[in-house]
Amino acid sequence: MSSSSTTEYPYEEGSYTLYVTKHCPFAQRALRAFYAAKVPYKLVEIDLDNKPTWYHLVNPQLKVPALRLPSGEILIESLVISEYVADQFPEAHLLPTDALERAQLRLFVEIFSSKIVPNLYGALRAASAEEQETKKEGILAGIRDASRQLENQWKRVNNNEGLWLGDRVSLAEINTVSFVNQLAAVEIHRGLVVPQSQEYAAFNKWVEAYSARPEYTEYSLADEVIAEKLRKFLA
Amino acid sequence: MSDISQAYPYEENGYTLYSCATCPYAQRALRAFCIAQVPHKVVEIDLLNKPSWYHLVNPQLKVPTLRTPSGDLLIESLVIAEYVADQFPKARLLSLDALERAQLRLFIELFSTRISSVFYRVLRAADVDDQEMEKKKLLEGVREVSRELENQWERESGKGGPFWYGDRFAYAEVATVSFAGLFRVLDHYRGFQVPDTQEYKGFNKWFGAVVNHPGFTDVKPDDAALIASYKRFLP
Repeated sequence: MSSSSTTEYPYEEGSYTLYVTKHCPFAQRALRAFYAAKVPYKLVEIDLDNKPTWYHLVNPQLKVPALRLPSGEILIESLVISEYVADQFPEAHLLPTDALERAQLRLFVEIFSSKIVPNLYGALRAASAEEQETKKEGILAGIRDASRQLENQWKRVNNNEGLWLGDRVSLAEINTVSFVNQLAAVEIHRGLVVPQSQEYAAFNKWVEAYSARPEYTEYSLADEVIAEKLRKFLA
Repeated sequence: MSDISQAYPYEENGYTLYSCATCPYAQRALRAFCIAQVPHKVVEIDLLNKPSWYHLVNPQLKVPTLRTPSGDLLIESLVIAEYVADQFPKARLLSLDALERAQLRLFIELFSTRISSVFYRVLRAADVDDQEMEKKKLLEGVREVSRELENQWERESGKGGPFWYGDRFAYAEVATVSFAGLFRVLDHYRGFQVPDTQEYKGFNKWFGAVVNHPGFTDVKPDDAALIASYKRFLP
């Protein structure tokens, strides 16, 4: 590991270096992608409350994750990094090869980014009970959407084992499960309950299926830990 | 074209793109099809007067939406553009190299957050001070994009420009030029222009080449229609 100074930053020569914060759901996308693809890398942990003085050399935006390639290039943005891993290591099958299947997987991931995540933080931040209810309903609407897409997808692949691609973890899980984990904070602080009814059945089955996988458990956090970490967002 | 007494109009055994000529997101999808030279039927949707059947195509009532020959419906402009790139690899819209793809995705993200989003804020700003502040931010964004273009042109895949992939108008342009085209609108309503100085050289070289390329001009909406369609964003 090269030494750190004001003009240098630590990295692993000839290898991948991943700059992460283990409890950050965005950074977990990168961690899970590398885990699933079984690609070796050096992990450099960044304390987001006390960032190293050199970190701007890695990512001027000072966010995690960031990835340094063996060739020296640096990539940022969690979705760009996980997709890079899928592209660079096609033998890991993190993405389907068919154009339509890829598009459908991307749209599944998009539900989390556009509908669930904003409402997750929105529910925590909301001051009034009314606004909290609106945000919680936003989360549930997103989950129902995800449930419908899972149902459609399982009909297409004719597979009932519970993951998006049936029996194999892919970017469909890698890019989303950390945010489902985060929902624990909305459950504990805001009383969110995901129903067991038909509209949510596929989603619940999917959660059960991936929760047993090491790609999930390696980085998942206990509900209480999540609730504590996200306490700072509470109004 | 199918009889409109069916649930919604579409092209049997072909691609149908539900679009709006002045919408920059819809233009991404249109350009992907045009550059890849894939035959497609365009169904124009008047966003201010949506057809009663459109919710059957896209429940979110947005454009663009793509109906594939198999009857699958895809939403989200970049998902559609990437589907075209994946489905028609001979068109070489998008490099197959993992790092090049990642760098291109980061460029699109940069353009979107530093230029496209700020553009709308300049239009919406109510008082002159806010307008000036947003204009400054926009110029900052153009300088950042300028630098990224120049970085790319030193790479093998950029080979001196003027487009992201050198002499080829391809995916990076498909994803961004409709927003660059909005500078015309800003000039009209806010007297905004990109200076012709060193810091903006990269952007001006790129945009200068873009405006003369059929990839841009073939899908470009009429100036008067474009300007009129943005009036509703003014405070």
